[in-house]
Amino acid sequence: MIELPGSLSAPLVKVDRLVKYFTITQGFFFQRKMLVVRAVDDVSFQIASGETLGLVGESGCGKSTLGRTMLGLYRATAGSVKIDGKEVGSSKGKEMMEIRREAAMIFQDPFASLNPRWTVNSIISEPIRVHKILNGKKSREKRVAELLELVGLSRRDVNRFPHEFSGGQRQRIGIARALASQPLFIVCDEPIASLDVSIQAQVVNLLEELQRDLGITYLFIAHDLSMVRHLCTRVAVMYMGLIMELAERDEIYENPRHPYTQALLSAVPIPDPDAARKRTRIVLKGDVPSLINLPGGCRFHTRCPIAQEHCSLIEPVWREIKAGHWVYCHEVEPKFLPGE
Amino acid sequence: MTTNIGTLLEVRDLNVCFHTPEGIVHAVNGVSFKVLDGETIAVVGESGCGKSVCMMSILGLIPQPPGEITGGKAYYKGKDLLGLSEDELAPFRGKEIALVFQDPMTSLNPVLTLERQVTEAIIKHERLDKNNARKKALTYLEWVGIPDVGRRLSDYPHQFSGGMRQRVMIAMMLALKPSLLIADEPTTALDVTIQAQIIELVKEMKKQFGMSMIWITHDLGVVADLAERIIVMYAGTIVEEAGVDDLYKRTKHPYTLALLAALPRVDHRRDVAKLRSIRGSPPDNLNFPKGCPFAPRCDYVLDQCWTSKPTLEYVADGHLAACWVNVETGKPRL
Repeated sequence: MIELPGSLSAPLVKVDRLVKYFTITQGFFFQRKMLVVRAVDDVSFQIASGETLGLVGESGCGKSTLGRTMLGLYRATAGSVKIDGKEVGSSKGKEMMEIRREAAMIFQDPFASLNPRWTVNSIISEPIRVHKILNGKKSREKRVAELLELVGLSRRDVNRFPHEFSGGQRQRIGIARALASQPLFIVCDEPIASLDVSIQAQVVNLLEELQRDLGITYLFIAHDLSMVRHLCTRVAVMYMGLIMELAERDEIYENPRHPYTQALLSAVPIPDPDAARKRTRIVLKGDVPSLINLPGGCRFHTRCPIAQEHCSLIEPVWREIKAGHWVYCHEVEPKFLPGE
Repeated sequence: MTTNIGTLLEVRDLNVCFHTPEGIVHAVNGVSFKVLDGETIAVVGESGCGKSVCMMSILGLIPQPPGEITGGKAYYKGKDLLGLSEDELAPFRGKEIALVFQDPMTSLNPVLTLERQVTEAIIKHERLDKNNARKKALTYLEWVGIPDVGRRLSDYPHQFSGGMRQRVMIAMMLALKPSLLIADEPTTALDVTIQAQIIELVKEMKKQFGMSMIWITHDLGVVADLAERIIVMYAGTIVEEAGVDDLYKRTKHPYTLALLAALPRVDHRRDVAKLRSIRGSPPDNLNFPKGCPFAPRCDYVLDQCWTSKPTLEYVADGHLAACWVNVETGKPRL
């Protein structure tokens, strides 16, 4: 087996050649066709215990699918995910329950991810009950109150319903629910994307405090590259189902090597007129191609500013160009063309 | 004529409220500003601060009831738009003042082809026949960078991506050559790479056609190299207004300062242990506090902030702020 990216003494999460395809049918009867959407297409990486891995990319690049497949919410088409040594795909029964307890998720939309007919108490105590962490109503209620205070809400909120809270507060309820099962690993799927700027900082600070106090490992899925730079220890950049580049935070922001990462970073708005005027934007042409008809060779070649002829023919290999810095591109120095 | 030469739009003391079952929501409270010929201004604020309502009411796009414009004037080329009837307003919409919305999917009609969408306004305002309108539409669709336009004229909105739909909206608007473009969060729903494409397109458009522009956004990052002047709104009022460099570098209002501090920078290493967040949440539009609406969340708050609301005043050359405090000293302004 090839060595996986990540200079990690104790990887908590291991993703090895993970693939997730969706099949869709199109057309009626005679013209009926089965099409394959290649949402995650052979992805490998590790996450160390206690770190935050940022996963960024444009919408539709497969980052949410990757996060969900890692938790077993989708059945992987191929490859494997191990969380704390347990195989997510093949586990059943007791072992699967254990994985579900150890790995939680925070969703993007705090309006859609909480049952509107449940009180805060029912929402947060469900994982405690299901995983039999505490038996007895009284002790569960006490735990819910503690969790609410941990995320900055009041214990008086237990009998209120989600609609009585603002977006930021609802996201805190979602975080409290994720924490209820005492997880080791949380997938945060765009947890701040739907919040106002002044509230985003509150939630990010809360996630960091929880990590420091409870030692939780995060996969932080986001499209806000500024926030990812602030929060994450390492960053993976995804494009059309594949990771294009992965490196330590400051390495990838100060020394991006993949042309897609470079373009993505140059497009991020900077709240400073001088800095904004000074830098040059690399504007990518066109839109993201369809995941059904992937371009041949390197899938980025249709929008790549440095694409060569061979890029449309030969698929790059996922390689480490220096310690901990991985890229998927022929043209990044030292150049490497498979088969040469 | 009550406006100065070179002023395209002047809004004076605009007040808008909504009658809801819970009570009266005061969405816009005494907003005044100007847009000069060829100028780009940005209106920045969080959701619910009244930035969109403000612009929509100028064009008579607030449903009344439940909305009600309770006071104010909006002079466009010297004519008060707020006093006009629906019919009198019609020639201003699109032809003089164009709007581009956040969500291009809901602002395009899903059952009309691209050709119908774009030519409809041209035929109505310019009184061209179908063929000429089609030619004109093609020119502008090509200009905004829709690939292979000729073949795509018979396509429907759902067949275009978000970025392409926003280009279609811009083409529709450009075809009428308005003097003022109001863009309401036009890139919020788009990915950063597509956002960069649209911003470059808009800059190019300003250079070629020289129209004035109001760019409504919640993102202080997007407008830093786009707008010449920036207005920051909070709780239905303007709290700060300044030229772009003054606003970012010599910020005078605690709210703007807090917003800027809450934004991490993509081009800086992390140098703070914690992001500076703004405590609490935006005020409830049903019950504004008596004094300054930002007082409960403000780091500089003084006793007087709780009892009386500061007015928007000049605090430096061309720089307006509504605050009792001098943020450089932390002491009351005289």
